[in-house]
Amino acid sequence: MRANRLLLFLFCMLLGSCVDRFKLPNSHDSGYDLVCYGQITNNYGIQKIELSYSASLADSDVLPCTNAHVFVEVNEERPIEFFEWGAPGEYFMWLDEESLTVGNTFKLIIETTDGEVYESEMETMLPQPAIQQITIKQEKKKVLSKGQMQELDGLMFYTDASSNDSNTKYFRLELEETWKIISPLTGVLFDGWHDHLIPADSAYICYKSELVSDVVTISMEDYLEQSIKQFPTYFVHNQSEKLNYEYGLNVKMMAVSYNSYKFWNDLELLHQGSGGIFEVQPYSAQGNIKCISDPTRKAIGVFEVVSYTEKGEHVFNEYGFWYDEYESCSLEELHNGKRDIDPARLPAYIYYKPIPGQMNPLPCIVPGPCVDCRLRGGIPQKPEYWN
Amino acid sequence: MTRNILLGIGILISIIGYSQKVSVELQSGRWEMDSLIQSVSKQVAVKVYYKHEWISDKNVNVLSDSMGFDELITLLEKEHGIYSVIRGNDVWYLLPAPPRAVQLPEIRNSVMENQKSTEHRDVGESTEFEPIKDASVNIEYKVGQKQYIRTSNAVTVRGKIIDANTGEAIIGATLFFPETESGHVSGKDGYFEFKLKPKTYEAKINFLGYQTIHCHIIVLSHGFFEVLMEPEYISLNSVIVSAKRDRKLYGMSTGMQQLSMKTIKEIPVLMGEKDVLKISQMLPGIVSVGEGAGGINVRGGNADQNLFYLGEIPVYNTSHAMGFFSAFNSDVIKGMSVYKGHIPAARGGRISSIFDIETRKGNQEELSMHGGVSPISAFLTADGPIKKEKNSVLLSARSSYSNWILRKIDDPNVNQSTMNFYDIYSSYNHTINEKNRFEIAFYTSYDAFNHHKISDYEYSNFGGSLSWDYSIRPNLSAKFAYALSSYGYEKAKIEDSNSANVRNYRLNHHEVKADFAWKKFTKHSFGFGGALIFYAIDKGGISPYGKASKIDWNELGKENAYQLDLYVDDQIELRPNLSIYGGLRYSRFAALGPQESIRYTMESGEATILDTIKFGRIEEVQAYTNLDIRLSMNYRAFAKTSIKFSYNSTSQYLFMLSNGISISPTDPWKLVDRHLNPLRGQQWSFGIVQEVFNSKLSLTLDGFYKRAKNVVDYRDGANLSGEKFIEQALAQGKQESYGLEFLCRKNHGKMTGWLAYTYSRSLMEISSNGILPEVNGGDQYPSNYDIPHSLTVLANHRFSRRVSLSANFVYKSGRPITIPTARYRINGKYYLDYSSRNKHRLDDYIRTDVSLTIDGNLRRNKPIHSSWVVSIYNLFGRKNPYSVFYRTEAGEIVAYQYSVIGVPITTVTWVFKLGNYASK
Repeated sequence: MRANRLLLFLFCMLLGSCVDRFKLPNSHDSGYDLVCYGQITNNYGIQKIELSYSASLADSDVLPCTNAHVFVEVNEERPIEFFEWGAPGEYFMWLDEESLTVGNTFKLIIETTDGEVYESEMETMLPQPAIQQITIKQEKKKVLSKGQMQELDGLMFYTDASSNDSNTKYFRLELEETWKIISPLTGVLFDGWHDHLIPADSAYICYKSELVSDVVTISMEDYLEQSIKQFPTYFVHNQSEKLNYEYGLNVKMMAVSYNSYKFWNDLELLHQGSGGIFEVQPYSAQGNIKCISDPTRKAIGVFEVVSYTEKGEHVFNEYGFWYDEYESCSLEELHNGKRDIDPARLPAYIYYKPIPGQMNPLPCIVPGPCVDCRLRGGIPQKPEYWN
Repeated sequence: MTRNILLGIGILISIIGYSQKVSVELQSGRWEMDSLIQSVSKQVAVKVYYKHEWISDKNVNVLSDSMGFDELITLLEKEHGIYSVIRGNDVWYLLPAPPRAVQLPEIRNSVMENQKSTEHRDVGESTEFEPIKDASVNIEYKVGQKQYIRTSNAVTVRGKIIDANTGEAIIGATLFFPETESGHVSGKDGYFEFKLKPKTYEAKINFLGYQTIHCHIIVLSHGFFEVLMEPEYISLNSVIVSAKRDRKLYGMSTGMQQLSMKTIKEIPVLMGEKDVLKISQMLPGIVSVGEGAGGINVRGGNADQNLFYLGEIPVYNTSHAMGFFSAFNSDVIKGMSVYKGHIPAARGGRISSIFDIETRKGNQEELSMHGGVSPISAFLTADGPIKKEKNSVLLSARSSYSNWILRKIDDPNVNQSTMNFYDIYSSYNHTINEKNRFEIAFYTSYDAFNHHKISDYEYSNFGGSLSWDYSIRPNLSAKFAYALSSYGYEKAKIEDSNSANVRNYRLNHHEVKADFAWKKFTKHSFGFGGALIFYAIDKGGISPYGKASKIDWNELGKENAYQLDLYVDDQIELRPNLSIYGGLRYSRFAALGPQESIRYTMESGEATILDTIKFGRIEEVQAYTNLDIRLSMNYRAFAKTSIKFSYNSTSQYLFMLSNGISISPTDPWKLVDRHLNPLRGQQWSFGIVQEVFNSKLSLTLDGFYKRAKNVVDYRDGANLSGEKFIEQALAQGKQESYGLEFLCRKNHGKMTGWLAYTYSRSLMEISSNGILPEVNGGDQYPSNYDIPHSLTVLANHRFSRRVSLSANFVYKSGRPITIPTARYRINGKYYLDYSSRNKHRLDDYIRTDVSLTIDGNLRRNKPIHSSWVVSIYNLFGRKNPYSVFYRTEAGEIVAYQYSVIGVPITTVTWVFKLGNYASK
């Protein structure tokens, strides 16, 4: 079906087809179904179950499902209770290595404060896959960026991986990208009395990481050989600062059950559309959790038992990519010195602008992210796989 | 002074012929007759002869600015006692008394000249059987032989109406007998048949685009006669002739729509491709889910509930270029009839509609050639006789050459892609004798797309037919036919080398059928016959593409089945103004082995797999029988008013697997089997046809209520192409639709066109079948093509013989869509949740198109006549929404609206033919 849409795209280019933003109607009609995301991984230690309620499009945010009793039943024997701590609606428990053995079965049981009981289907711990290599190629690709379909230059990441078990056929990739950011200016923080130096080692160069929102699923159900080679994993285009200096992608490959694969595949289909004549009918992706006390109640989400392996690859900007995301680093010149600063704006980031032929530079107020990359979400530490 | 002299009365004169169809422009008001005559004579370019004293004291009230020349003549005759006679085409005599006809112009009727049993005579010859009374009658036909006259018994009169120039049959022409106020319509291949008592009848024969024939039919005994109709393209100023209105009045079919090629050619179209199926969507009750979508939806039915016949060949895939154009080359199409209300018992196989696309039969008189060039394709058609008036051959081909456009696009993925299609149609018609005629037809269409490094598609239709018309006895005729249709595709997904695969599919349809028409009694028209169809579907398989592909070969299996149809029907003329029709159609469908089928067991409402049953070769897997009932009634309340009612029940044994908004050209067909039951439909419809303003306007109001069961829908997110046991992805349920359709059509004058408005609803309800959960919680929901309001206005203005301007306006309610109603968060990311299916609607669809046709000069002697058509599709560049989709961008969910065509598309098309303006 996706290929159909791509073909249609060809024709639609000739016909002047177009894509515009669509405003969704706001209403409080729907929502408030239990949403569960539980993931038991083969990495022994703390495991987490998140519970919340869906929200209508008019609501500002989703509400957590608090004070629920959450259990995970291992091998249909002893239910292990998860406890809510930290953020509301997040339930944690430590699972030992023995519980996380390949072949063990897991079932999630939730009892909410309104007395409803939800159960997941039985899920099995599968053998972890192996990632052989990640390769990077410079390519051009047609992408929907900033509301427009455009062909952009960028880097394409490919993955070679294999399943270690002939019965493990479904996988999900979780991608985390990291890029290096360098503050365009150096400055100080002025509190009204003094200038405070911003440490150059932490504020000038940072590394920013984000989980990629794309859902990537792989089915090897029809494969003769349970492996992938040069699987097109992620394309990062040059219309952001990500490729300016260094860029890396960490691929976490999880072996999942068919139920989990189907749920994520549905989300992939529903949230990565590109329009077109053969667009599929949207539907509610529901996953493997059901309300057993009231079958008419809907539950959304998935309880998945995954065994994963991860591998990262990073690259220097050898391609000449450059995108100035901080063109807005405008300088507010203080010709009468720092006393011109409105006290309400303190503390303020100050950049001393050199003036040709003058001894003293001109102080200027600059936006904080222009001198302190930590304010742009960066941290001073590189990801491990960059070393 | 010519106007003062009346030349001798005894000269050879002819009753008005061509000039009846000419319009004259007159300022409304009171005219002196003398001035009026002079004005008209200039416009019509005739010399007029009369005595001044005959008209000097007469004044004429002209009520409208434009009137037909024939209307003027009638006006002069009835209100002022001035009679007209025209000699040749350029001399007009005015007489103070009725003329005495002495000789008619020569009427070509070579077939009849060789027949002893039938002849036509000039008016004026005496006949002892009954004298000629009406001077406006210009021809008479004698049917049968005098020695067999049995005046007390009705005899069978058979005939055929053909184009005088090409020898092609004319389907849908009407014969009207004013005396009995009864009418008949020529059917397939131009034949008609009725019972009459021996005597002389006055009759009128007409058809759109042809000169009306006023004639006498002298019925002596059983017999056959042939009517040659002259095309009307020699018309002077305007002239679209009255045409199918009689069929509308006298036909039994509620909701039946017809389009002639003339109409099709005048309508502005996308990229200059005259597309019969896209144009059919301008008729009431026919819609599609949106622009560029393949498939059409008739009266609230799925796209797979329509059966398309190209001549005798059933066509399973009707689209080129993924659905943007139809697979039918308009140059081989003569017309199209859509049965969407009453479906005769002789037709069946689908529960919504039957599209009869009538093909041209080839010119039996002379060689003709047509061609044309549009921005994306070119076509060429040649036809002519091998032996004059005995046989004809037609060969037409169309091919795209759109790759040059792709190469202009600055995108390596696009400019290295290719897109091609072609179609070929050819036929051979042979008339052995009066009783036997056969036709061989061949059709193929092919599409190929290669989207560089992403996908590769091919799909094709192939079909052929052999039909034999046999007149067994004067009152019994038969048609035997064999038809083959084969549709298949191959699609390769190549974007990811690991999963790169090829999927292939093929459906073969073999059909033998026999249809009999029996006119034993005066008031009855019996029909009976049957068909045997053999379906062979190779679901193909999924195989690896390229060395790097990891895909394992996956055989999806085969399906075989036969279908036997038998029918009988009778149309009874109870009274001159009341006809009823009844028909029964029996069908037996049997799915045959070899096949594997899963057996399920039901436990507390849920199905679980029990085992797999294997069926051997030709072993009957499952059989279904159904009896369809077809009823209709036509009551002509007044001379220009007809009231109709019909009831249909229908059966369908195959359907298309499609889970997109629109059907895709590579959606496979599936036969019903042990788990999936035949689709059954019922429709009640009524219609009123009213002609007003001296039949210049035809008004039709049709209403219908339709319901169907076992209509197929699919599980949310189902992958229909790779499922071996498809019942695990499909569910069957009910479909209900109802609506009112209004059509106002003007076929006369310089300005022609129609206004069509439809109000209709189409609703689905899918309950759980145990294997799958219900859709939309088991509640009723609108189908994707539930479009309550649809308005089409189409106008064509002919400024002169060489220049015409067409415009159309289309308004449709936005189609239903499923939009998200809630959002939720998983692993820190937000996603959308959807609840009720198709609960909301897109914005309304509005489009305006225009086209200008400029014909070449009208010189008689020229080797090639050509014309240019400039058309603008979506004149105002409105971005009509087609769908809404969602993307997660920078952690935010963004909704986008997709419009297929958001700018005006201007196209210039050149068409040519050998010969001059009047050449066929």
